[in-house]
Amino acid sequence: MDRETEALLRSSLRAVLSEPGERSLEARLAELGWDDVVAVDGVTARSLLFEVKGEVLSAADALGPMLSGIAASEGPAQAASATLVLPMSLRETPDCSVVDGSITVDGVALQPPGVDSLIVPVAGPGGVRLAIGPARFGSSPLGGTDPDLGLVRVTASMVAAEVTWIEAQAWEAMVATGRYALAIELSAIADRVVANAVGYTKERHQYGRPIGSFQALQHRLAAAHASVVGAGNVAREAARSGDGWTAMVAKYLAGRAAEGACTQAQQSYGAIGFTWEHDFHRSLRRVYLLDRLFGGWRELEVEIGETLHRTGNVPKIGHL
Amino acid sequence: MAAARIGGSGMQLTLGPEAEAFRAQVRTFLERALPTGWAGFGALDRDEAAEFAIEWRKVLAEHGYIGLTWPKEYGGGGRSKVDQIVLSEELVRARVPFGILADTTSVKMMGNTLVRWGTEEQKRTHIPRIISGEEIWVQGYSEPQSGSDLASLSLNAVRDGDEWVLNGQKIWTSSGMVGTHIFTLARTDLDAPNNHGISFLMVPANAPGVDIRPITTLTGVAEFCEVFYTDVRIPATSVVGEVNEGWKVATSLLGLERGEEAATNPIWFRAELDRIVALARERGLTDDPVVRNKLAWCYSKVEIMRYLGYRIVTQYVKDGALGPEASISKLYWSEYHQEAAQLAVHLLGARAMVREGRRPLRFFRTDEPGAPNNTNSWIDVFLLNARAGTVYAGTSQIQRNILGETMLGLPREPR
Repeated sequence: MDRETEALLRSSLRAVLSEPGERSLEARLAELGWDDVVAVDGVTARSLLFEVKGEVLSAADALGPMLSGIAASEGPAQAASATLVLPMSLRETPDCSVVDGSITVDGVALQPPGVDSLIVPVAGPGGVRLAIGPARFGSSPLGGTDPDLGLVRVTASMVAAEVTWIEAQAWEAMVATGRYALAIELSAIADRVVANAVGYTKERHQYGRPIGSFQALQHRLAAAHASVVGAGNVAREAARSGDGWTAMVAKYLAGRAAEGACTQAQQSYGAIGFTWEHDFHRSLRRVYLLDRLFGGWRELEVEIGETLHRTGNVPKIGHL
Repeated sequence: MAAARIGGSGMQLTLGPEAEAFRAQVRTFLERALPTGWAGFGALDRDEAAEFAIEWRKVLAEHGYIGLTWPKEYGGGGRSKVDQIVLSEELVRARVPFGILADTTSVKMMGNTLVRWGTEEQKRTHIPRIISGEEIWVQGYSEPQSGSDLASLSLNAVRDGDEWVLNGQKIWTSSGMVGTHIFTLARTDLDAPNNHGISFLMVPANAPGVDIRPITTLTGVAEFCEVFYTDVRIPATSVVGEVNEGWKVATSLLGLERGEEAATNPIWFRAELDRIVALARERGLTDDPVVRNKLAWCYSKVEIMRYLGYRIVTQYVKDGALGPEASISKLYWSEYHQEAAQLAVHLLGARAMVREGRRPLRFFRTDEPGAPNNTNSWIDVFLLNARAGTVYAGTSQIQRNILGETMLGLPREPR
């Protein structure tokens, strides 16, 4: 995609993601001719989608349909309309496993289940497989720190004999996609957080000077910016390569950089940054929740370290 | 003095026979006053806790434990500042509050200010009412344009006959919704340099022209207020200390407050660390080397905080003044607390997405000792309490400037 087309797409996505109202993101993207755009340059298109989503702090669910699409391409077509339930933890004993022929589910869905069919990652000896099929379930808004996102807590049971199984690579592809998409979004939110804090420190005066002229704040914001730029680069590389390792590193870096950017920005804002009236909390609460999807940065940090130790191999990321 | 001695069993701190006798007396009182198996104030839900604090405050007042150091002629306990430190320590250890939240400003700040600076009439009028809880005083220092640079404040007070007329705005008044009175700093001489020309004034919250509006915090709870003054008239006798000398009045309180904090902070943070260790066990993460490393780090910090506290208290008891360690204290605990709160939410993992259980009983420092290890307690401590700690009562940046310039003797930052 050339620069001019990219700028045009970015501008269209800003309009699409800022559109008020109930219309689904899928419908809005369809109007934009999204499938054609993806067919031309899917990597750039998807990267831009999540970048702009973070930039304008959109709560629309862009990830759910992409993940269901992966399940549908690897398994039965019904997967496209089924709801994916993410486990509460990717590192510890998975919440979902087959016991006495039934699968008990406790997890988070990115949107309220539309049909009575779920996609659930289930741990087994050969890795994590996806179970797709009918389920008896209850769901309630997750709320959490960011009710705007519309996440849903799902508890369900499925009969193992009634489900279709998809082997591990589909789940691995979904994890990689989820991680790079969230990494791009988190980096974009963090970028917004730093930029807004910089703006504030130029305007806010204490001791007769803009507070941004004090090195104590300059250094904090400069350090935050450096982390965010680094994380953003790795996130875009993860989108390009589609590689699971790069996506994990990208999600780790972005989660950490975004949390750090929020901390530095909040300190720069002082008391006003703790109010509901100020816009900052929307980014803080969003970062807090997005970091916890597909593995929080602290969990991923441990996983990255363990993998490096176990394999004795330090993979190269892109051209870095 | 406090006998800090190194013996076979390690360092011990005692505050002298009189204070230790008083400690025994307080412990006996607490054993009798609290139910058997008392799990701590933090174990109550929000409504129960609010009710308990009010009732408990009455019990403390009846036994002379509110205003312990204040002269008996005004209804105080007439005891020493060391005894106050002992009392604060024992209350925190027994997991009970020292009053309602607003007593942080009402008793600790305003009460002590009046005892130190008030006129005879001011003391007789207000101190007994502060002790009984009939008057609840809240603080009005910060302004929208005067935060770290508080001395630039611009709430204007003009003398008109026997009255002061106030116009302007204050902000970040904690517990502003429940206050019956406000102590505030106003500019009474426009020509004087920054921290001169400021007076310490007493304003009834229901005075005509006072408009108190709650501010909602990022966790959705209204904890502090902004206060607007429009032609508010108060009697000329509402000044505490000398006119134009309010800065001196406002900054004179640090001693006792820091002494108490030095004794109580380590207990609060240790209670919180015990909850974090319990959380690591509950989550099955005690074998994780990163978690173990971080827990050990937290433990070492809390222990250092404890010994730092011993030093501060020892110095205070010996000289009646604070040593250089006191300046480190605020920076130390507030920066530590952000790391500890971050560890707690990381231990919760993806569970930290779900809000469950009651929210913290207060929005500063730790949740109360005895608090349940639910996600709501930790999410709010992480998002609000811990992060706000490095901002209120002097940001970490201001604390570091003070340390650099006054303790290390570095050149002043250009201002």
